[in-house]
Amino acid sequence: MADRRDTSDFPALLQAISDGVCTAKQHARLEAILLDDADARETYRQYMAVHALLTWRMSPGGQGQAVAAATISADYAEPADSRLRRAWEACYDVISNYAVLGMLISGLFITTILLSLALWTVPDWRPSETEGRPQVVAQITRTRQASWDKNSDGNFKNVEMFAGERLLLRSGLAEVTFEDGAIVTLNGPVEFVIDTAGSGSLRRGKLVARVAPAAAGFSVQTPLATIVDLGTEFGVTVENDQSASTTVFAGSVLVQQHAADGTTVREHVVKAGKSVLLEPGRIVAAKPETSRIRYARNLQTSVDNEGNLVLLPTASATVDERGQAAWNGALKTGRDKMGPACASFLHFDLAASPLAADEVESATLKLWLTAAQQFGATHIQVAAEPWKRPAGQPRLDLPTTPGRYTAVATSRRDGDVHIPPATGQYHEVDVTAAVQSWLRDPAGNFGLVLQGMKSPTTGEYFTATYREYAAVSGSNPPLLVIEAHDPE
Amino acid sequence: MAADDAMDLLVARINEVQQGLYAFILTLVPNTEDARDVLAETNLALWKKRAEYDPRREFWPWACQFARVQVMAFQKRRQRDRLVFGEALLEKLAGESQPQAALAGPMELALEECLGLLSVKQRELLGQRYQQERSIAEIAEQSRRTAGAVSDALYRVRLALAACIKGKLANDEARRG
Repeated sequence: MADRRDTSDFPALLQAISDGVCTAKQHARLEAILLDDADARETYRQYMAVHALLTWRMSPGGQGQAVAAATISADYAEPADSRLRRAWEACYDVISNYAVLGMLISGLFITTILLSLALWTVPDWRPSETEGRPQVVAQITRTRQASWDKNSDGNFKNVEMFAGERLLLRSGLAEVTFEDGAIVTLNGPVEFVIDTAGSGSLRRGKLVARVAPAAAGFSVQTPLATIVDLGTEFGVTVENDQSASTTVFAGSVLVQQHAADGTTVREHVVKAGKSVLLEPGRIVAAKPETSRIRYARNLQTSVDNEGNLVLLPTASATVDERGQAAWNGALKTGRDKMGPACASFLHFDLAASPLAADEVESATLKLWLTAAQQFGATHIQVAAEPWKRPAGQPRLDLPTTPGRYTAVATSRRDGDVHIPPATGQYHEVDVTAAVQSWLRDPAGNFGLVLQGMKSPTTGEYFTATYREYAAVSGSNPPLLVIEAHDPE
Repeated sequence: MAADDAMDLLVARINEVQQGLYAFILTLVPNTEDARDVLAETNLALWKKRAEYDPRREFWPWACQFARVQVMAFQKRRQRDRLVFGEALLEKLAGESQPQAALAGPMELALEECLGLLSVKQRELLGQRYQQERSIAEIAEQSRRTAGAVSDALYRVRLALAACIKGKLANDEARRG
């Protein structure tokens, strides 16, 4: 048994405890020494204080689960691995897209060679001269988080579509631009056939067609009816039982109901704001529906499983207090120790929202936090004026002048303060009032400003970094989720 | 003071004392992961009691009270684990550490200067242990030294830093005095 007065083993015990390799026996021995010896306690306190400082200062996780090492020292402002990881993530999106594209191109190339060989060896399969070459009548112009069925004739952006080809979109959104000018947004899951340069057949699922006046006459065939555009924007849904509905957002459409032999037996004009149900043998006027929200009218907008409208930002920026853009792939607020303070801007275009202000039950801004100080808040405020200064000043302004921005919500209200701010997840802020005001006055929609809370004691800004809105295909972008009132 | 201003002040105060609280807790719970957990629980407890926060009161002793309660709760949860200090030692250490941990800010500034006095090899060693979070065994294997030699070297560096920091704080005190 060790002599209680002999503390020659004390250094070894300090080493063991700070190296994380202390045995139960060593721990008991250290406790005994510290209880008895005031000098040993002082040495222990000083030694552990240095251990704590080093852990706090240098360890990536030393400041708690969600702390940016940036707040400790510029040397460790952003650990290299984190920078590399972000860079890799950005590259990965590109690489993976190109890799998929490459595989598809390779696949197509091989298929083409095999097909050519087959056609060459079996002449009967060749299209005859009289049939002519197949015509490109449409193109997939954009996609968002699109997952295609393996049997789909088109399955990536920019692919040209021939008449008669079929698109099978399992989930996500795809925009198809027809030769005649109509733009169709397919809302997966959907099965859609490209018929001609000015028509298509919706077998099941949902789509929204935007038809410029010059392309008027575009038609969508459903199993029970044909919807002929009269210069408009409309949505069509075909259910599994082949019943369908159409909703007109602008202009009007002509609905032609067919008999079994294909002849038109009934016609009905549907005007903007109206919906009809297409059932066997009849066309039923539907109530103006809150189900209008069911359609994603463009690729910035989608509908989640709860039927809420989900919008991506149409613009975003991060600027520092010198007015210079500080875009580094993230939406940033506050300041690193050595850097200027930053604020970020977000804009959501509500033009595609089918809802009026009084139909909005709630609107929630969702921000994916990637890094933050341990304590603090990010104020979410409504921008009261355009981001850009007039008179040729391209620089963005920081919201440094009190009163220029109207606070609608701040994250220091109950439920919104991040204690500690958990990274790697979405944080939600209620922006219902802002969205309602933008829907009432679209010209006043200058977006939102994200600003770090300024400490009243130190004058420092709360530093946080949110997931950037870099591309619609990027993961965890800022989102605006709008919930409509329940239909009566 | 408006309620929102008081909350801003509380959040700022909590933010300011994080490093000191961590040092205070680590002295009582000498395991970096456990200390981190106790700090998080302390923060949460502080926030839950925000309605009781009085901006006129000195914040550090108030925060340390919360930390002590959380350390005791941790100690009770881990009583069967022989790697926690008993209540008697915790009481002594807490009383003595509270004033020292309050100096975490000045200590960090001093540490900054003291790190500059270390050799490149010493700084590399600290980087491996703290920044890269490598174990003693891993560092030993990579540097082809024994674990004992690595542990000794780290011990000496920490002692040297502790002495350096103590000296700098004393000098600062003397200049002010």
